[in-house]
Amino acid sequence: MKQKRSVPLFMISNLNVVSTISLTIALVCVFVSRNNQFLSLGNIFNLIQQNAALIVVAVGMTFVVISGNMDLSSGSLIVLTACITGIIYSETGNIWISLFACVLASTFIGMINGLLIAYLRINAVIVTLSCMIWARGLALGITGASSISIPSKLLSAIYRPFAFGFINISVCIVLFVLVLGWFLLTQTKFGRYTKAIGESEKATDLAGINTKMIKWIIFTLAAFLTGIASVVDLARLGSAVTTIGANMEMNAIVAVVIGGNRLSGGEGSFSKTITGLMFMCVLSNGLSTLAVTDDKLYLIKGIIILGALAVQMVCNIYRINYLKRFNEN
Amino acid sequence: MKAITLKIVRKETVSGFFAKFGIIVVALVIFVTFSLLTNNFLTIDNVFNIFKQVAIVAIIAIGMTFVFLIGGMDLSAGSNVLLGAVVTGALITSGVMDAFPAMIVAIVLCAITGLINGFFIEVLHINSVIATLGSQLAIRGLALVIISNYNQWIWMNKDPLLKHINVGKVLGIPVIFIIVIALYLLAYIILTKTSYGKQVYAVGGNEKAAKLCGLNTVRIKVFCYCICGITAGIAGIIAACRLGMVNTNVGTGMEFDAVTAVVLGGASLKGGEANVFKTFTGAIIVGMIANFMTLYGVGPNYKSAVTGAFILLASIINRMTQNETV
Amino acid sequence: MELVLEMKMISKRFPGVQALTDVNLKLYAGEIHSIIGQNGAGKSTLMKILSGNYRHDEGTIFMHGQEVVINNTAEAAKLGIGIVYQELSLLNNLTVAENIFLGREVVNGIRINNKKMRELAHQYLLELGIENIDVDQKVEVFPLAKKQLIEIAKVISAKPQIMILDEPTAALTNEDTERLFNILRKLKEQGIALVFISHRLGEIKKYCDCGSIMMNGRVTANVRMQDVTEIEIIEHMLGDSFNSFHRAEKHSIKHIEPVVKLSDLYIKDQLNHVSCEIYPGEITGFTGLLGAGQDVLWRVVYGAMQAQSGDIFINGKRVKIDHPTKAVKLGIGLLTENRKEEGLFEQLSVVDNISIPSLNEFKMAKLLPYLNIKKILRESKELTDSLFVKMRNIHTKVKFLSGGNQQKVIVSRWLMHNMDILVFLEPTRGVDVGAKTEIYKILENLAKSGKTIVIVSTDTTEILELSDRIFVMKDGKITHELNERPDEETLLCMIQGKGDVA
Repeated sequence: MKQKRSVPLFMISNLNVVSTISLTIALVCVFVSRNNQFLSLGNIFNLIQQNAALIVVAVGMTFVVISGNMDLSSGSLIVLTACITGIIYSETGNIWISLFACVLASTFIGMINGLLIAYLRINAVIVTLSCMIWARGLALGITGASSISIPSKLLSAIYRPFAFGFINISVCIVLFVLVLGWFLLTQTKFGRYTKAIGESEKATDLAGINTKMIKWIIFTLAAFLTGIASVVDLARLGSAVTTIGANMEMNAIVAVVIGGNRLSGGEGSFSKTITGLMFMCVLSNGLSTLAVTDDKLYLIKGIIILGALAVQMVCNIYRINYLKRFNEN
Repeated sequence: MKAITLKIVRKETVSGFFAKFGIIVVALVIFVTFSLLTNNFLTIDNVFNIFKQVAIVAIIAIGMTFVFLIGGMDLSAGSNVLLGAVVTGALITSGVMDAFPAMIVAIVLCAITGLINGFFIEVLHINSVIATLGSQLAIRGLALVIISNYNQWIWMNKDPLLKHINVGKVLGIPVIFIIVIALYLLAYIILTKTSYGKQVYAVGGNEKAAKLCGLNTVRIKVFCYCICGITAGIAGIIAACRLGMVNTNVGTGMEFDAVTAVVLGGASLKGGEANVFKTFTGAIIVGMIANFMTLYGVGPNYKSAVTGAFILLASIINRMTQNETV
Repeated sequence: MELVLEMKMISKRFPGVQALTDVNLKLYAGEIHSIIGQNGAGKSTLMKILSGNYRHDEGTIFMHGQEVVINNTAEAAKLGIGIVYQELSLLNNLTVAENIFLGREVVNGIRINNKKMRELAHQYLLELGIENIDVDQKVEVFPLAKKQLIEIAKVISAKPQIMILDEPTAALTNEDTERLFNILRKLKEQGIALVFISHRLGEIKKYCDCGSIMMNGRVTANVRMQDVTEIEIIEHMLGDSFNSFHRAEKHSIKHIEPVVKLSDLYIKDQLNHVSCEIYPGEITGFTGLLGAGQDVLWRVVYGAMQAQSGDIFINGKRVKIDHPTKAVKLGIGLLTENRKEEGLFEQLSVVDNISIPSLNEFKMAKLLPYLNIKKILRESKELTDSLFVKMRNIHTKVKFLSGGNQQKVIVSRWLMHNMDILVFLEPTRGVDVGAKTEIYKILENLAKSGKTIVIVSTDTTEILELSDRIFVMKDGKITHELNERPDEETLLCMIQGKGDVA
C-alpha cells in the first residue's frame, strides 16, 4: 500500500534538507542586510565561480560518504598536484601535458589509497589522513613553500566567459561533473552498489557483489575528481600557491554532511550535497563580505558549522522517532 | 587437530610479541640506524634536544591516547594548544594574575572546550572527525580573537616561573623532562590502576558489554575528550615557555603529530587498544625522525611527508600482525 | 520423483565441538522437507554448508547424481541453491525492487533499467500471490513478515532448484505463517525442492511432506509426516536424554515476599501484559520458542530495553529501570546469550573481565579512584578457583579461553559484585558438556545460598533439570506456570502451544 504522501510527512522525511535550506535562507537574510548586493546575479555567479573546485570535490566526496567512509586527502592532493603541474609547466611550457599530469597524479594516488583501504582493509580515515599529511609535506618541500606561477593563456581561458557574459569553461566543468555524478549514483550499478555497501558491506558481499572493487573505484573516483578540482583552482588563481586547496576536504565533507547525507552511509543523494554546498558557499562568501577580522571569522564559521551539524543530528533523532510512530499506526 | 592448534598458538605468540614490543624494536632500529648515519645524532646534547622537542607533542599524545581508546579522534588538539598558550600569555602579560594561577585558568578553559567536544560527539552523536574539524575552527578563532588584542604576539618572559620551565633543572634533569615523565606516569596510573581507567578500556573494548555492566558509557567517553583538552592546554603552556612568546602559529598541525604518535604506538581506531608507553615510543620516533632530518638539513616540510608515510607504514604493519582493521 | 540433492556422510567440526557427524540427506523435487531438532542439534550448520557459508570437513554432496563442490555463497547460488536467512539479508535503505535484483540488475548498456526491474519485481510478487507490496517502497518500512516475503521473492527470482528457509516462522503470526505456506505450496508445484528448518512441530506436521530429525549433530530419523505423530517426533528429538546432572532434592520453599514482581509489562508485538513473581532461594526457569518474549522480558527488567507500560517491583518497591546502571545498583545482574557481542571484553584479561562492574568497591578511599589491585586479584582468583576456570593465569586475555570457561568468567563477574538477583539468558550456550555440569552446580549453590536465580533457556532439558518453578511463554504471554516438574514431552508440547497432552 502506498504511504500517505502528505506535505507534513514529506517535510519530516526530508527534515535534514529542509533545515539546511532554512539555515541557508537565514544566513542569506543576515548577509543581505549587511550588503544589498549579496543576492545580485553577479554575486551569486561569483559565489559559484569561487567555489567551483569545492563543488567538484564534493561530488567525489558524496560517493565516499554514501559508502560509509571519509576521505581527508582532497586538500593536500590539490596542493601536491598543483605543484607538480607548476613544475612540469616550467620545465615543458606545455599546458596540456601539465594538466594531464595533474589529473593523472591525483588519480594514481587515489588508486593507491583505494588499494590500502579496500584490499588491505586499513581504516579509511588513517589512510586518507596520512595522505593529507604526506602529500602536503611533499608539495611544500618540493617547491620550498614558494608559489609557482603558471602564466598559460589556455589555463586562464578556463575562467574566460564565452557565452551570455558569464558562462565559461569552469561552469561547464562543474555542470558536467554534477551531471556525471548524478548519473553514476542513480543510473548505474556502481551507484547502487555504493549505497548498498554503505548500508551493510556484509549483506552486499553475500549478494555476490565485489565490494572490494567498488570501494577501490570510489576512492579512485574521488581522487580523480580532486585532480580536476585542482585544475579548476589553478585556472582561478593563475599559479600554484601554497594555500591552494586549504581546508578543501573539511569544506567538502561538511557540505556533504550538512546537506543531509549521513556519515554512516547508505543514504544520500546529490540534491542533499547541493543543498549543503549552497550552505557552505553562502557561508564563506557572506563571511568574506562582512568587515570582520580573520580571527573572528574562524570563530564565527566554526560555531555556525558546529551548530548546523548539531541541527542535523537533532533532525535525525526527531525524524526517526516520528517515522517510527507514524509507521506503527 | 593438535598440529593446527600448535600453528595457531605460534602465530598468536609471534603476532602477540610484535603487537607488544614491535614498536620498541622499531624505535631501537631507527635509533641505531640514525646514530650510524650521522655523527651528531648520538650526542648527549642532541638526545636531550630530541626529548625537549618531543615533549610538547608527547603531552598532547597522552590525551589523544585516551580519545583513541574510546574509538574517537580529536583533530582540534592543535587549536587547544594555541588556546592554552594564548590564555596563559594574555593573563600574565595583562597583569591580571601570576603565572601559576594563569596556567590553571588556561587548563580549565581547555578542559571545558574538551567537554564541549565530548558533548557534540557523544551526546549529539556527531562523528568525531567532523565535530573536531569544526571545533578546531571555533577554538582557533577564539584564541585568535584573544591574541588580536595583543597585536598577534605575546611576550612571555615576565614571570620567572616561565623561565624555570624553559631552561630550569631540578637535580640536573630539565624541568620539561620531569613534567613529561610525571604526566605519563599519571596517565599510566589512571589507565591501569584506577577504576576510571579500567572503565575506559572496557568502553573502548566493547561498548555494549560495558553498558550491560552498568557503566555510564556517555560520561566515561565525554571525560576522555576533556582529558585531551587538558593535555593540549598543558602542552600549549609549555610551548609558550619554550618559545618565550606566543604567536598565531603555536600548535599548528600538532594534532597530526599526536595522532601519528598514537597510531605508531599501535592503537586501533576502533578503540580499546592503546597504551601510553607505546604512544610515548611513537612520539619519540616522530621526534627522532624530525631531529635526524634537521641534522641532515632537510626542510620541515619533508618531515611532514615522512610522518605521513610513517603512519601508513605503521598501519600496514599493525594490520599484518593483528588481522583486524586498524 | 526426482532426486535433486544428496548429502552423504557429512561431518563438520568447529573448535571444541563436533557439530555434524555422518549426516545423510536426500532432497526431492516438489517436496517440502523439514529439518527438525532442538537448538544446537545442527540444523543451521547443515544448511549453511549447502548454502556455501561453511565448508564440510568430510562427506560428499551430489546434485542430480553429479558430485559438486560448494566453496562460497556465489557458487551455491550458481548451482541453484537459494537460502532465505533467518536474519534476512535485505538492505533497508534500498527499495523492494532494488533488493530483489541486488547483484543481478537489469541493464541497458551501462544504465540500469529501473522501470523493467520494477515491473518484473511486481510480477514476481504477484506470481507468488503476494499482494499489497509497493515495489518502490524502501524495505525498512515493512514489518518482518512482509520483509520475509520480499526476501523469498528475491531468492525465487534467481530461479533456484533448491530453496532453504531457516526458521522463517520464528516471529510470525498464524496468519502470516498460513500465507507463507501458501506461497511455498505454489513453489512446490513448480518443482522446487524446499527445505524448512524449524523446531515448531505443529507447523511442520501440518505443512511439510517429510522430515529429517536431528539430535546432537546426527540424523536420528527420516520420516514422512503423514506416517508419524508429534509425540514420535519429539522422542526422536530427545533420544535417551543423557544427563550427568541431577538436581538435589528441590526445596519446597515457603514463598513469603517476592523479590521481583513484574506487573503488566507491555511492548507492542513483544510483551503482552506479562505479570509474575519471583522468589529468592530458588531457580525460576523461563522457556518458550525463539521469539516468545522470555529474553525480551528480562532485558526490560535489566534496563537494556524499555517497556511501553507496566511496572517492576524489586523487594516490594516500585522502581523505574531505564538503564543497566540502575539495575546493577538494585542488585540485578544479567548474563546475556551472546557473550561475544554483549558480554566479554575480549582484549582484556580474565581479572579485568571479572572486576569491571565492581571496580567502585575496590577503591582505596571513597573519593579516590585508585584501586586496591592486590585485593582485586585475590578475590578474582578465589572466584576462578571456586568455579574451576581453566586458564593459563588470571592475566590471560579472555579471548583465549574456551566457551565454557568464558561463560564461567562472566558468572564470576556478577558473583564478585554480590548481586542478589541473577538472570542468565541461555546459560550454557556454546559450552561443552563438562563445563555445563559445572555451571549447573554453580547455579544450584547460588540458589541454596539464598540468591534469586532466573534462567531463560530454549533448552528444555536444561530448564527441567535446573528449575524449581517454570514459566512457559508464547507470543509474549505467560501461558503456563508450573510448580511441579513435568516430563519433557509435556513441556515441549506446552512450548509449542499445544496445552496439555497425555
